[in-house]
Amino acid sequence: MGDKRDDLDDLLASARDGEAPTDALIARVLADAATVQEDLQAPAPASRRGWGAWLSGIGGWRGAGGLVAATATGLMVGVYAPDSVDALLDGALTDYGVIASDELVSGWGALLDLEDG
Amino acid sequence: MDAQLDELQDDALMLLFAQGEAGAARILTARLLPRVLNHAARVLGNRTDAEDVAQEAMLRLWRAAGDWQAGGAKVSTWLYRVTANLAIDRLRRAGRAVGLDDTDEPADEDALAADDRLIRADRMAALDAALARLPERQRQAVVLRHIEGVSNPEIAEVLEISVEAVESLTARGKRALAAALAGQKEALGYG
Repeated sequence: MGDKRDDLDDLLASARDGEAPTDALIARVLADAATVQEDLQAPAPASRRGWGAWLSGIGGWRGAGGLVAATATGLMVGVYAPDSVDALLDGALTDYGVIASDELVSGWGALLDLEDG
Repeated sequence: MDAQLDELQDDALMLLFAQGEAGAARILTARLLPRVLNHAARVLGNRTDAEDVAQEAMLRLWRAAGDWQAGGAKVSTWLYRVTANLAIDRLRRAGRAVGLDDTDEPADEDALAADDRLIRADRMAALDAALARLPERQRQAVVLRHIEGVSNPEIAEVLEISVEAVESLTARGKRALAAALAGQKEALGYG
């Protein structure tokens, strides 16, 4: 039995020195390596910077248009709000002296007058 | 340059490879491809399949280089694991995997066709035939332990089992191999 084990050990040990890889296989492996290495070295696509990146970040021109509209609406709400809120509160803001004038922003009063006709 | 690279550990070469050092690929190929190929050849019993598996395993190694963590997994262990899984996949696709209780004759008779002019070829063919009769996990463990000389803890990592399970697999595998080869001592040149 011990004899048999020695033979098996010899056989297994001799299998350790298997056939060397062929030149063709080595060439294929190195070609794969070169391809992968090129991919690893290729610079990542340049990201857009400045206004381009900003525009892209808010969703392009369509997003920018929405942003401008929202800003304008917010501004107008700011200008008109005291009147509306004061009306809702039945003039309480005026009574308490919170609102002293309709014209919160100098010059806008003329525009309001024009709108009122 | 390659001589300097040859002094580096595998994981350092992986990092250099990712940085574009072509010499790193040559050194890693010289170190690892013969081991991967031999392992695949012994497990699959077919040289062409073994070359395909070895090339695919090396390709996966290259692709892993970009994310390789120095000091993490041992490169050879990682590669043996990839090779073992690819080999098992290929055996299963070809319907050549042997289950735990199966002792069918090896299906790939081509693998057994050895050149009878060469004793070594006869021995290797007999060994491949005997290995092919082992359940796949036993075969992997025996090849890694007794042919590749990999340590039991490393085999445990490759096969993702406990060290005790590795010891059991290799012991049973070697007994089965001895039994399969018992009547072939003369044919193997040991008579």
